[in-house]
Amino acid sequence: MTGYVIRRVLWTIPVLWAVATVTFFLMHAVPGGPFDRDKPLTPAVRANLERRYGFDDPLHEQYVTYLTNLVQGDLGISTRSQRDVTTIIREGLTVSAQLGGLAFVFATVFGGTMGVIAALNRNRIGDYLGVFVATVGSAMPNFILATFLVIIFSVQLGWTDVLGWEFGNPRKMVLPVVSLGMLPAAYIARITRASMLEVLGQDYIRTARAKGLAEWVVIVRHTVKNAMVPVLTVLGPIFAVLVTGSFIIEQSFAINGVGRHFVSAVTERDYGVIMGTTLFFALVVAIANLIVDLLYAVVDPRIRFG
Amino acid sequence: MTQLEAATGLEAVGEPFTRTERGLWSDAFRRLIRNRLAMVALIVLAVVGVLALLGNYVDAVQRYDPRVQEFEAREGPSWDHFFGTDNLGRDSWSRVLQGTLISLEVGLGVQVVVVAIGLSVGGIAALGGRFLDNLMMRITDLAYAFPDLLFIILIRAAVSERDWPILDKPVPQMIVAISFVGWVTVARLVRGQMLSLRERDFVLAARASGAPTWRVVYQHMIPNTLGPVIVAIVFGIPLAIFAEAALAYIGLGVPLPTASLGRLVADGQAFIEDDPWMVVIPAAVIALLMLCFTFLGDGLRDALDPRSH
Repeated sequence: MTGYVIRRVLWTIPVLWAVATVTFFLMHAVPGGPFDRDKPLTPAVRANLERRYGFDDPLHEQYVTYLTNLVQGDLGISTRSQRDVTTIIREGLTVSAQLGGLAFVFATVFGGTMGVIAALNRNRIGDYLGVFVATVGSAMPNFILATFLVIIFSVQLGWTDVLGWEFGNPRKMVLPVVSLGMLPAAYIARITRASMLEVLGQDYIRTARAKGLAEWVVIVRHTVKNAMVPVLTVLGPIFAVLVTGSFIIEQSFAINGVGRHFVSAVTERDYGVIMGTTLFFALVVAIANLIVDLLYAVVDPRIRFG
Repeated sequence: MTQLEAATGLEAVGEPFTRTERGLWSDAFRRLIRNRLAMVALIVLAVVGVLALLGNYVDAVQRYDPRVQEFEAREGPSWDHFFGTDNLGRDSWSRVLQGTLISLEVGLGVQVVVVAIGLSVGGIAALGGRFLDNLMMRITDLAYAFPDLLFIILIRAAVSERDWPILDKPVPQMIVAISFVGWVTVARLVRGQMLSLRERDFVLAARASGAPTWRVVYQHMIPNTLGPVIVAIVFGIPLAIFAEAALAYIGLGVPLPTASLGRLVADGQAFIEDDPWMVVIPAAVIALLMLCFTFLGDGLRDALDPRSH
């Protein structure tokens, strides 16, 4: 087990290195550079700027420099705003983490409940309703859902705001969280339902009922608890879905999170910010997958680690 | 009949029961036909697909040029303009049809590339021995760890404005960007399926009877891998359509003035309070396409593997 944990943790290093390398060369392969403006700069100014940021070095030297700085925790500065990339990410992170965290809670609670209710009402109205919501939810792009929700709740009913994010203000929070969390919620609901149905068919559930346990004890202690194991495995991918979803939802509601910084950095060829945000997202996904793998080992002791 | 008798312990009574022999594919096809939701989805998709094709190449269906700005801006839907006009006075019907065709092209085109990469990588991993298996699977693990939309955006930006053959047009550029991230699922599926098939009795039997490796692979392993791969492809279509729409929505899709559905949603959002139809129509088309492909995928999965239900 200890060996497995160590190997699993060490695996994130090549992952991050690969992400950094691919991003670095891809980003420099994008036509145009950070100093292409509508009004072209004079060659002298341009050369000075490039020297200042080290862009006049050969690409492989820039790559080595970047990795050396990265190992020391230095993400460089933004060519656009002259600010530290670390600061930019930290600022965006507060909002993105609030949005993503709440969407994650929404997805697990709403999706899990929906799946359990659907399984307990198999082939009855509750099941059909749950399956319908889960199917539509998993086929509905988040920005389309956001659009429809805005039309209904902001434009027609006036209950919520069209744009923005403010922690603690439900008018500005509910729609972004629901739009971002609906796809993972639908995914969790489908898996929970399937897993619950499988567990409900097991012999030990029949035994539990036969020995006269109250139905809620059978459901909560014996069924739900065991049915959650497969659900755990998808929580890693769910984090990835939330991360990618956040680019779009932050754009839809004009929320200044990390995702929005990435998108504008790509359009502006702001190399430092592109690298920083990409690595940040890769790290989030890697940590999420790591936690899930380790949790999985704790929850289901039958899993062997070779 | 003796087999059936042995299996059920019942004696055959009267006329012997006969069943016309059917293969896996025709059996699956019959199950698919009986699935109402999947059939409705297939019909809707066929209608939308034909409309999108005609709407881009036949003037009578297209009605107006999607690029011409000569009408009253932001008119509501009418008999002249089925879907109204946009903020620059262009006919929205022709623009939605143009966007729909792009969505379908990208959705299907991505699957072609994904299958080619996925089959090769998965196949090499499963059949190429231990070293290649490890190599391919480590590459796959790495590709899986990349935040997908992020890399789609980067690759899309990197291949834009190029004059390479094929890749000089925006739709192939989108296809390449999306499929370079999307092949992982298929590769893992193919590898897993082939590894488990290798241990199955009928493959063992084929080997034991002296069939050469290529024959075992082509006659037994690939056909038996196709079922799950087809299901994965159909489920991959809505994901690709979503990726294209999302990219267009955040302004990194096919360049203007070409209309993409995601772009139409983004453009309409500025007028969401006064003229919600500008957003609702393209949004509904994207949702419809994705839902239909999902239902079709569900139907195919149930048809190809009835045990899964």
